[in-house]
Amino acid sequence: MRTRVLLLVLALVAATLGGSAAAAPAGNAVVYPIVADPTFNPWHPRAFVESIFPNRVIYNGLTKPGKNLQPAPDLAERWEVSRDGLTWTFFLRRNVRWHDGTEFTADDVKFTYGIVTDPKMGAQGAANFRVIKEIQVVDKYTVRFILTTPAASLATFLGTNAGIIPKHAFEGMADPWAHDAFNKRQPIGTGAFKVGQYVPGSHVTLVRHDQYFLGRPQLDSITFKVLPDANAQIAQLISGDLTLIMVDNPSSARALQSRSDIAVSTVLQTNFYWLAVNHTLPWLADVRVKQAMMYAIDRKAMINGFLAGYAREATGIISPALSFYYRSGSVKTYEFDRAKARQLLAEAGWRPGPDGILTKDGRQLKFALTYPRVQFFEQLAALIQQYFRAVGIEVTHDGLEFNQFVSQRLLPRRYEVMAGWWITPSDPDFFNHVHSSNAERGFNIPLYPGKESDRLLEEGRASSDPAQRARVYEQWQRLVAEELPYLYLWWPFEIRAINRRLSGVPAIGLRDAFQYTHEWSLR
Amino acid sequence: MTAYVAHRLLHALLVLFVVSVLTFALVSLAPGGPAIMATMETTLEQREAHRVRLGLDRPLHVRLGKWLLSTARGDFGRSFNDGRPVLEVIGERLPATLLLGGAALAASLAAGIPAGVLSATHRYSTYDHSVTFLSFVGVSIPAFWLAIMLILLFSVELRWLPGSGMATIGAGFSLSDRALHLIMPAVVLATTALPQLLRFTRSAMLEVLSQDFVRTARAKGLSPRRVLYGHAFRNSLIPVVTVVGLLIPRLVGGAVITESIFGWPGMGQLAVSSAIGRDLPLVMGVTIVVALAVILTNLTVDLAYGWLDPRVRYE
Repeated sequence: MRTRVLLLVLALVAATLGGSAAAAPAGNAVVYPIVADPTFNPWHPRAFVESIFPNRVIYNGLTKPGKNLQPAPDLAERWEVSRDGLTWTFFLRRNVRWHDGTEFTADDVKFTYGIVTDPKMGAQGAANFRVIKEIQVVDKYTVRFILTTPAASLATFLGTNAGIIPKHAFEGMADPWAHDAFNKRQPIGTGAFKVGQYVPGSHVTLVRHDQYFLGRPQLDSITFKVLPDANAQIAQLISGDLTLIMVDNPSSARALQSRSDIAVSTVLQTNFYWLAVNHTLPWLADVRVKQAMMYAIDRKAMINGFLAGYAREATGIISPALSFYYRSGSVKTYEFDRAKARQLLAEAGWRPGPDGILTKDGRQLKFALTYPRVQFFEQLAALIQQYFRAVGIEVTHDGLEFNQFVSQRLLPRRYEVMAGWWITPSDPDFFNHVHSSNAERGFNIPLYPGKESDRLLEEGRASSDPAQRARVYEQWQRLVAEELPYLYLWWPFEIRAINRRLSGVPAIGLRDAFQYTHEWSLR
Repeated sequence: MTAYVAHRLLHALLVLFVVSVLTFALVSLAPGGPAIMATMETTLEQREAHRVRLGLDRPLHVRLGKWLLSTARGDFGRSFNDGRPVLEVIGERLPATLLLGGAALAASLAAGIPAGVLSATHRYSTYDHSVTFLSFVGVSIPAFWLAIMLILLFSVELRWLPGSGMATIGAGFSLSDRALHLIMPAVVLATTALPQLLRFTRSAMLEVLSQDFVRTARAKGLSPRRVLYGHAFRNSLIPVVTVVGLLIPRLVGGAVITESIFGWPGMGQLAVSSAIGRDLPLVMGVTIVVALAVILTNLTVDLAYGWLDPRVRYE
């Protein structure tokens, strides 16, 4: 009996000690941390932030973000847009090989966007492609998209987490999300690296795809290591186990700056942080009240306080990272100024009550600030409360766990004022976030109804000529700086820390930079 | 004895059923929804599509009934969020957790029991005082702090030990490599488990040493060694076994903080992320595994009492 138990225990120990023993090539290897096991399908509803990085390497889109953030060719060598902006023709690159050797063709594009545009599939990022009505295969290397309305930003969206997936790998699969062998183990892409070894919970090693259409990559492999803890990531960057990281907590950046073997740099992002006033509440939607709120907040102090200075005060929605479209000179800005805030509130008819809180027609200027309990939002909410109280606005806190925040407040649009942020593609088109048609079901969180803004947003999508678009978006930026569909807080800097042995990482957001891994090299 | 075990196993089924129903109801009624339906980018259409695909449009009792039936047949369903079979996902994580938990437990037992016995036999000595002090330090140290300090010292400064994962990436499997990766996380886990064992061994030993049969043994003229290990030790083990019985289910459930910091692919991270992501089938799977661990450990502990102390009878 005892020997049998002992044997059983030994067998168990052996089983647990064992595990995958297949070796992946070492040598010229880059290691990057991700927070959880990835899903190797950019359209899978479960493909969140942990999957973005590997998928940008494994797959190619029709376009990709250029180094100047204008859309650049990728699987599509070039594209033409019809005069009315409704027909887009993509001329595909020839002799592109999938990781399994099969040739990439227009059928793969049609297959991919067939899934994306099927509302029953609930594909990740599908909202960006709602304008696509039909996908036509013209010939093996030409594909045509027919749109319902003109959408110039499509060129950008087609290059952002929009990898083309191979039709032949999904042959006979009724539900592409249930194709575990592809989505969770061995995906097939066209990218510079392909999956070599995957150990769930530990790491995935991508190895060089020698037939990559932009030439043989210089690195041998890129490993994505599952390491959710931010402090552990920093420790491992210092010890050399990781080659580069994105620093989440700005105050940790200082610790890395003193090291000679690590280069810390910042890149301005297109992300922006905001407060959204619920525009269905007329007493809050009053533009004077919104402007007063902007004047009442000391954004500079907040940025220096909990972002260690790693952000830029936002003057609008379009980030300076989009240098071609961003305009600062002609737009209204809001320097911290309590006197102006009080004056605007007085003009709007709000008078201090006995307790110091402003009142008008028997209503107190008082609201709940809804925010997710992640990142630095607790501090943000506490400071906003103080700043607003100083001008007579009373704020109560409604902080929620992220999941609840989204499903109980954001999606049903149940809030007075909400704090949040958007991570957006590198395009000035904020139709999804500001146009009134997206108020109930899209991303127009503040439920902003502005007709003039709607008109300009439609015009901005209608033309594919960047110069023409820039003119339209300049008007729009002036308008939304006055009208404040969102109350702009800041554009955060992305902080990346890179081992100096690694070179060739372009100075654009790191997510986008992973679409250039074939140019990276190690010394 | 057989009747007792059979009775206990029947009881276990009932417990499992109650635990399942309660967990299912709690997670289903918790505010929020599966992570794939609750991102800021999810549109109403997408939410609707997922609700239908996941069967969430059906009433709670129907879903619970379906889950119970399929689970009874051994099918735990598929994860809401990544769509894979629950057993496959758990199967990837459980061995890593058993290895880490087992190593931590073995280390705690190997060090804690002798140290506790020594503490008891040398009560109020300098040794006893320092061990007591260290125990309190060990119980009080937060795991996240200790883990980072160990990494900074042994991985960053001295470069003796690997800072994360279960194996060197790219290298083939080797026992020594696995053992090196195991040291730091196991030490962090053992730092809280060991003092408990030590303190319980100490007090149990002290109690036994003051009992009549020990005095009799001494009066018979047995050597102190014989008295200690032949008579007192085995009798002092009952409370120790009880503590071990409490530690094991905790180790099976995984240690979230230690796993996150050391990138250890265990159950703790899975349990937390599935709860946060409202991944009902996965939460249920993890719950069943932990519930089974509790039930089986309790049964084993109860049986061990009888082996340790033949006066204990099972009826």
